[in-house]
Amino acid sequence: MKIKYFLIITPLLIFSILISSMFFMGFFKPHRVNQLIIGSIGDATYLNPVLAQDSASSDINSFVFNGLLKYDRNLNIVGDLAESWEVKEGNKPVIIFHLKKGVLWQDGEKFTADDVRFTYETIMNPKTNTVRRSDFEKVERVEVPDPYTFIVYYKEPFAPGLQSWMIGIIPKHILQGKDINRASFNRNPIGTGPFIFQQWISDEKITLKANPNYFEGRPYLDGIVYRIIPETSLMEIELLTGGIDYTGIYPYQYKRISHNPSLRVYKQLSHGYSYIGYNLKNPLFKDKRVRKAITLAINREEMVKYILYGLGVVATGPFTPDMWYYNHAVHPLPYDPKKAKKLLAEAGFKDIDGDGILEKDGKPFSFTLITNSGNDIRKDIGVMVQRYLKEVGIDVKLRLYEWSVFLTNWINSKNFDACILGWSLSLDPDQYEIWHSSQIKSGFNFISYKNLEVDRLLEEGRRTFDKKKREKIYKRFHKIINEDQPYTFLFVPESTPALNKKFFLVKKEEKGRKLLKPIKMEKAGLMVDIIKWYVPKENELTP
Amino acid sequence: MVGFIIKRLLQLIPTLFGITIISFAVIHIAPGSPVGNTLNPKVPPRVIEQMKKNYDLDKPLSVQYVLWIKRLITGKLYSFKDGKPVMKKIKERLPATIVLNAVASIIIFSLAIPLGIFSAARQYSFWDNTTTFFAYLGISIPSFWLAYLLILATVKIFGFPVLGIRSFFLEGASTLRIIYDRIWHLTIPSIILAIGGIAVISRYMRSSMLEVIRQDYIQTAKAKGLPEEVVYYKHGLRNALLPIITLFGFLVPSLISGSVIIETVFAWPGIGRLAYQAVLSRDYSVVMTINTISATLVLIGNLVADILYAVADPRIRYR
Repeated sequence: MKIKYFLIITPLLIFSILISSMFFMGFFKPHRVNQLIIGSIGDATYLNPVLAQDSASSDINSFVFNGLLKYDRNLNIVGDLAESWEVKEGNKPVIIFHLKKGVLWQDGEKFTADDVRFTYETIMNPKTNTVRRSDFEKVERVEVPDPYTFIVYYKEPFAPGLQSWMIGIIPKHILQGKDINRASFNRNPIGTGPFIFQQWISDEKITLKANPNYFEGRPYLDGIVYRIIPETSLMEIELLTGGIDYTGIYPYQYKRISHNPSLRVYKQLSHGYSYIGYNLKNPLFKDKRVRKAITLAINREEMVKYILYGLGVVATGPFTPDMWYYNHAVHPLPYDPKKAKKLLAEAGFKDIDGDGILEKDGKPFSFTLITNSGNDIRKDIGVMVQRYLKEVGIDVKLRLYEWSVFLTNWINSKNFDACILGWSLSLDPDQYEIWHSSQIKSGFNFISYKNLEVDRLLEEGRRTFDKKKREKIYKRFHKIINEDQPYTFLFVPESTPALNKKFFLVKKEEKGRKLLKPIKMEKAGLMVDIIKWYVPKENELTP
Repeated sequence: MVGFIIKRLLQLIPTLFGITIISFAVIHIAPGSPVGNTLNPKVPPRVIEQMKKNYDLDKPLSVQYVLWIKRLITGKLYSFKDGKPVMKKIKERLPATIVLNAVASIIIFSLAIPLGIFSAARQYSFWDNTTTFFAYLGISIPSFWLAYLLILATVKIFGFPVLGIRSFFLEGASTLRIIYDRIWHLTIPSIILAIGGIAVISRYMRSSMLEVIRQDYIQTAKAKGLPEEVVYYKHGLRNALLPIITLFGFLVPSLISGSVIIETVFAWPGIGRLAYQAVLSRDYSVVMTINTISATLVLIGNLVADILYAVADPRIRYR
């Protein structure tokens, strides 16, 4: 019977092909190579520093491109493509950049000040779909007197302006006259950086190779591979089995991964914090005592312990403790439910009907706390806050929404009671967009916070270049925000990147021998010395 | 028959038009927009407004619809997320999804049909009960969980997992090795993807076979002394396959629709993940195009099924 045999043989044949591949492939091992494999959850979008918005793209761009300035290991601003620079202060400040000579694009062309002007003009062109424009809006004009000098004239003093020149410079000779939004350059970038772009397979990997002509010398690594692995458990498996060398890990993975002998997990406070923001237009939260009481009623130490597995610190204000503008005289409010109840009673909230929920003017103290779905840490915060506040007699309803819905229907339309969110901060202390009262209508002050002294401090802070004076301004700002408690500042999490121990830092090279030392976490992050990373061969490992 | 096919193809046109309108409406009704989907203090609303203007998102919906169709036909439709032509993005992902789903479908049908016949021929025997048990197990087990178990098993046995469509460290290897590497990467995801299908379709096959062998003409064939195999495979099978052909019609769209879960768990760069990410980031052009393509394929699948009915059952004639 032909049909019968056909029906039996076909599946057997298919399975034998599939299974046989196991014997052929299964025991093939990746070999030890002098390259860094980074694991990332998401794929890059634009390999062009002007257009990139996501962290994956920024990671790659930082290897391929250079800015005029950069942060050194201790977060001081130093020159990158700029040899030096001068700031002429005044009502209309001027910055003069003197560019490094002899820097080459990766295709061999010379880098000049025209490229810097081209980058600036591209950003300012309204047709360019860039999110960087607001950084440069205070610039009046730029000037290129000679190929290695670039002068920026500002309309008014703007201290965060200096930092904005860290943006990667793009090549004029390739992009001129092209539609930047759709140029093939965005997927085949050419920069001045230590690594040259090689290949990008969507949602699989991006490969870079060392730039032999890099102006600070060829990197010791031969290349970097950026692998896209869309799921955290898989990422962990790949990390443990050597399929990737470097990735950021979550607090719940920290303990088990840090025990692995082939990996080192680093710790550093991240530049950001989680918070509960109160809609100050809501009469419930108008009273400072109520906001303070809620903060007092929330055990933030316990949150750090259970949500972050101890990997973080309690936040006291809009800054993170390792920064120069952080006010160490501001102490976090303690966990004190008794005092919280007292403050609530002072504000007029009493439990009259004995149901365990406080009332004022016959209305129970009840509000909805919202956050976005897909973020387990925020969900956990919500659940814990619900429990803490129940103990002091406040009824909290927790709602989770998909990100776009959350943003459009609730946050941007200011249609919420309280929300759980987080800010990632830039290293400059300026937070005008978040706290200034002019930003309530169409900015990021969606909680409608208004304090005239804060307004004045924020205006002064961004007009002052002097670091000492700025420090004073922002410390004062920090103190006021802590007193006002427009947010309940929850915690600053620690970032925990894991790196394979096979990487070392080449301290110096003497007579062909490399002096190695272990890679250290610097203030500016682990990757600050990436061009000196190296995977030693077995015979180079002797100290 | 030819007349029937032409008539059906002509009927597709208005349906297709309706589909584009629905695809367009569904994504525009959802809150959010492809730009300004972040909470970034450095991106003030005026910058977002300018971007919306650049993308023609400030125009009335009817104009946007016409623009979309025009760009779709002329191939000038770009993704909002990375500025790449939408068709190129889809084309990049299609092979991975088609290969995975094709292999899974071959496994499903080549295994489910014999299993169903086998069970039906020995109804209520020990073997029938065993396949029934495993069929229900296959339907009930969450595929992502089984996938994790198999991934962990490969890690245990081989020391590293099998993710994606190829090993990333194989540059410069021989062609044979590369081909086997691809097959090796296909094995586990396709089996996981097939398990649910095998379970379901073998049940269908069993019940439709059972129905057929109770018919008078099968009894007659048995009575006149034909060997059992001839009765089942020659006279029974052809009629029992009709309901399965309906399911086959759904196969065509499922070939490209992809599975978000399986593709995520195995880091498989397919259409499912592309579509899912596009929905999350409100990448209108990608979402609408994928929707339209899969809806079109459903229509074509139905048409193919109708034609196959006629092939399998000579009594069915279309005019």
